[in-house]
Amino acid sequence: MGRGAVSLRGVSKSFGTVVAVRDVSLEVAPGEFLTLLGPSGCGKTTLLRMIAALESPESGRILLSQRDVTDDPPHRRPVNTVFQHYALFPHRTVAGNVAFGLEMAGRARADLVPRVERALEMVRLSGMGSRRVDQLSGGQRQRVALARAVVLEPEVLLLDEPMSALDRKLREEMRAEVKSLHRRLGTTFVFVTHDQEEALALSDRVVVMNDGRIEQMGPPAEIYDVPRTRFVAEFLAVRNILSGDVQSAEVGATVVRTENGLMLRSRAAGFVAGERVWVGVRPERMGFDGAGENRVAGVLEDRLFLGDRSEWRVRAGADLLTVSEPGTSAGRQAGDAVTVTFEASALLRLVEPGRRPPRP
Amino acid sequence: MSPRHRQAVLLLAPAVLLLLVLVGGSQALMLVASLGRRSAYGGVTHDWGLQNYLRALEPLYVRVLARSVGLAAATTIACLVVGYPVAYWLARRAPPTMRRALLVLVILPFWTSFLVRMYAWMFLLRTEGLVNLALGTIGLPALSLLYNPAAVLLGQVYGELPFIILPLYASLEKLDPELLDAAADLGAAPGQVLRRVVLPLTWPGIVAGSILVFIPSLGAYLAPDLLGGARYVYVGSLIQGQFAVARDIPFGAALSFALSAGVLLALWLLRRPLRAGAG
Amino acid sequence: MTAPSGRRPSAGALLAVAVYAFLYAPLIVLVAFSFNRARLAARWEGFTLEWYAVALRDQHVLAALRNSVIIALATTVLATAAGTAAALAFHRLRLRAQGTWDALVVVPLVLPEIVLAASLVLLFAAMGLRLGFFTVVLAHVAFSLSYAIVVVRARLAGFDRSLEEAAMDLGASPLRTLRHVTLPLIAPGILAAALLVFSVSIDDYVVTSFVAGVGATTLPLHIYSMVRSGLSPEINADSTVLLTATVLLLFAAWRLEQGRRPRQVAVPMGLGLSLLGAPFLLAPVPLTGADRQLNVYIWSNYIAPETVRRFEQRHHVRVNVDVYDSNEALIAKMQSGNVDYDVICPSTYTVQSLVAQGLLRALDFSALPHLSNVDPRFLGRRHDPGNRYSVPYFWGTTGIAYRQSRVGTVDSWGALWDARFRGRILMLDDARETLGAALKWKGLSVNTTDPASLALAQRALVAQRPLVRAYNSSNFEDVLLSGDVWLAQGWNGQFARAMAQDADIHYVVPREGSMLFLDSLAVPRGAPHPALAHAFLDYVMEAEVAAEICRTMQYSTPNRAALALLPASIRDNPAIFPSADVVARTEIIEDIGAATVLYDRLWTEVKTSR
Repeated sequence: MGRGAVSLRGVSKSFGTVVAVRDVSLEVAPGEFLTLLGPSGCGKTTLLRMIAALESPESGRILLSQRDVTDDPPHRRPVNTVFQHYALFPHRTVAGNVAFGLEMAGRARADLVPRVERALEMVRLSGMGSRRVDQLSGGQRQRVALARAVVLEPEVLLLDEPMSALDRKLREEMRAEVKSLHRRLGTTFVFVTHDQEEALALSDRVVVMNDGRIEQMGPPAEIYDVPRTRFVAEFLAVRNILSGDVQSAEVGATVVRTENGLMLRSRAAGFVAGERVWVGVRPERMGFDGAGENRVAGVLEDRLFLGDRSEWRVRAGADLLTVSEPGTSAGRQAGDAVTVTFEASALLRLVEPGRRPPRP
Repeated sequence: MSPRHRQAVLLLAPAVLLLLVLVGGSQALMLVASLGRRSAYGGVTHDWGLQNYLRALEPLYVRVLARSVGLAAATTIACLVVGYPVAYWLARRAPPTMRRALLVLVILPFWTSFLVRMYAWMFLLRTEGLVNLALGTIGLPALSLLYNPAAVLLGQVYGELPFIILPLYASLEKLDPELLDAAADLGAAPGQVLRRVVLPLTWPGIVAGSILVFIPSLGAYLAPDLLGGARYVYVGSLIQGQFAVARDIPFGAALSFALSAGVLLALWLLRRPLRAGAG
Repeated sequence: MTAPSGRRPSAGALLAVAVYAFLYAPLIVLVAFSFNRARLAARWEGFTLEWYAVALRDQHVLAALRNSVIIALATTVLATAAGTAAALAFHRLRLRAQGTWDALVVVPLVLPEIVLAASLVLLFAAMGLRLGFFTVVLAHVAFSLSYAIVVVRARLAGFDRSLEEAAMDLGASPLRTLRHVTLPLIAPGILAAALLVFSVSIDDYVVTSFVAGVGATTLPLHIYSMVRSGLSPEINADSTVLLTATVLLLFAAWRLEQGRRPRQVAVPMGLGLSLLGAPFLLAPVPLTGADRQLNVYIWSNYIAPETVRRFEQRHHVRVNVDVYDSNEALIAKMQSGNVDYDVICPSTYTVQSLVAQGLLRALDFSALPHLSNVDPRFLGRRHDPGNRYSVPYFWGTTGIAYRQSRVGTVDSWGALWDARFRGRILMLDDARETLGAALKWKGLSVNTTDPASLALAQRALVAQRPLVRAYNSSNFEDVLLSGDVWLAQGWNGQFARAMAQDADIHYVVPREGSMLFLDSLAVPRGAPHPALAHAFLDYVMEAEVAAEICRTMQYSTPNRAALALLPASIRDNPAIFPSADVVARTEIIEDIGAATVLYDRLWTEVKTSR
């Protein structure tokens, strides 16, 4: 029971004077695909390495499948890692790399060969076993690293930014491959990335980390739709973030007056009259001259064409808003006067732990 | 010839010229001498033949050579056993800001005359020396530390250790730490990580260091003479003696060429295991 | 964020500490003994700064130290530059027959130094290069270049070529790419190579001893030359200064690397540089090519700086004093004929060899009036009948020194074969001396070439071997003084100094007779300043000068007139001046021609016997 569950209880770690992970507690369910998302230096990799025992926590406990493994060295933990730069052994062939862990476990040679072959098959590298690793392409190395980690049937598979070194097309292919691998194996995956798209696409649950702490966690849709802190909002591409004062805070009909005098309505909960807050709106929730309780007059400045949509920068007094519009927006051009409109439900309330928005 | 090629040739020229003229030229002269005979006053007569090489193959000199090879092998192994963990510590564990200084400290003693340092070792190891004084104060009996094979080995290791630590450090420093993580993550215990990953990957450094230690050890004479009490003849003192005492330059040259040829031949024969150790 | 840390006990750190202690233990001894009042390093006799004062005044050693630093620096620059260039070329060119090139690089590492040394003298002679600074640097480059190539190539092995390509892509010419990208990236390798080259150059003596010429004596050469007369603690003082200077500079460099400003490391830096600079300021500058100069080639501790200075003043000349450490190095240089010495100091058999090869100049006795001061016992001996080529300078005997409280009184070679003293006997490590002792014991001549006599002597030495603790021709007096052995065969000069420190030690020339050695002064045939050379020979035979030399060096002078001027402590010391009947029982070791090979072989057989 509970094979593949991970529990982190009050785990902390620092390197010299730099605190990498501050008192993090986290439960990962068996078979879950959990992603640690955040910018570099947020502590996500350190957290992953602590699960793998490649770093040891200064305080806190780590449990695997309900067993305390805090003091177990890496070779005793039933977890395996796909490393950022793959860490393939240059002195071994592809098959030699995949077989390494099995050899360490003392598996018989007869047992070893078919398992290595099956693992290579699983990552579509059948017949490449005798290649040297420096003869492989980036994508192939990635697959060898995957095969090498899963051949041991770990209770938890750890992936440390495994796709960061791949080009976009390969990355998208690999994304689908990892997802299908997760489905087929049913193993717990803990995945580290700084790419929000990757995190949303793959995960059952996303943990956003900042400065060694968990900022927010939840299913991808929740993280995307309701970012609670300014940091999470910014990291998940909420582009229009303004500071202001709460004028009135009736439930479902709050009015916020921004620093530059815009009066905006919100349906979000949690506002307190008179407080100083951050509010934010996603560009795709805004439109031009449409419906919506919030209306802001502005002038178009310039446009980024992104294929399926266009992004306009709109000058609205002292503020610069980003508005996304489907298609090519052929009818508009820079200098046009527009009215930016959006629903009150689109206005998010954002907090920033430890920092208050500036008073004008 | 491409400009790139021309540049490389220009870069190569000074070293090749120096080696060809100084080493090639002088050894050609020696080769000629090795085919001659000692004259009455220690010169070389033009009486060509292979007699000196045949003499070098006599059992007396083969025994000397065998003893020297044994000493060189023991020195190399001892240097590896002591030097590898130290190089590992220097490359991977020592405080990074102090690494370079610590490395220089390894070689610094060599700026003091080796002879003077061997005298100091004699002082430390002799019957009434410092080591026995220390043993005496903790109630242990004095040991006979000088004039035995162990003292010779100690002197040899002392003289050669830096020449193995430096190349080992260079190859250990290049080792990607992620590979060590990966091995541990895949279930390799620390001993297995060392044997299956670290040693194979640092094989070039091990080979380079071993060669740099083994070859000069073959010609060792100061440590065997001073710490070993010169109780045995090694090929280093044998050749030295041909030039400096017996003044039999032809035989000395022949011995030296036989030795060098043997070493080069061994390197050539072992080139595959030496290079392929990584695979 | 690299390897897992903290959890592992730092056994590695402990081992590293142990290894550094191992590497530095002898240096600590050396530093301690630079403050020891005793002349021999056997025991502690109180604190003194005397050896630093001696070192500061000894112009010969200071000059040697300066030469060593200059030669090592020049070698380092040349060998590292050429080696780095070659390594880069090997890295770029995929050469056909790379194996052949590798062999060329490895050969100097495989060659015994002595072979390279002896052959380089021949080569330089063939090339017409005068031996001097330049030839020493060339020779050092020859054997250290390979180290540089090997080390830099190892660094290049892991070099990412795309970095060079990136630089060229960014518009850097090949040369600028080399300067701004490649060299900085392989800098650690170059630094390591430079360190290695400097280290092998500054401590080299075998090659240097053969290829050094006028004004190019290095510190190791000086030290090895001193072995003959006993190493002076002055060398410990010099080594301590050199060590302190390098440690200070290293410390300053380390702090600079850590981002300190130059002003903050001014003290260690300045101190280190001034310690290193001292020999440059204090030592005399060697003159070459000047007319009024004299080049003397002699063992170290064989002539007092004061004696040299007075000769310079009297004749308004400069005297370059270079030292050698073996008669063979001297012979090799004289044979090559490309070195400019005016006065040399060969031993008896070396005089014979040089005369036979026509390498000495016949002396003009009209320029040597003070030859009459020399004791006739040392004139006209067989190695130079009529003294046509050499005048005696120092003499001495081989004998036995022993610890009286342990072995009683000794007067026969037989004591060295006494089984009661098993493991307490030391013999010289020298075929002629050991076979000589056995021959004398059996009542035979030390210059015999009779196979039966030699076989008898060899059997005696084989039988003696289990009794012998050590064979040692360098610091045998030290081994006796320290108590490791009770009986030692050796030369009287070194034993005299041991006796001055320990009244229990006595010296005897065995009643069966022994070996007499005689070091003479001679003028090489090609000497550039023969008239001055004669003036020098005559000068050292003046009674006052000979007495002064004997007083400072404590060697037996053959100068009869000087005896009266010596203090009783020296004149009446039987170890320095044995009685006439003792001298009458001695024999001079002569050059025995081809039989030398036989002696060497017999000795090798003794040492390889079970």
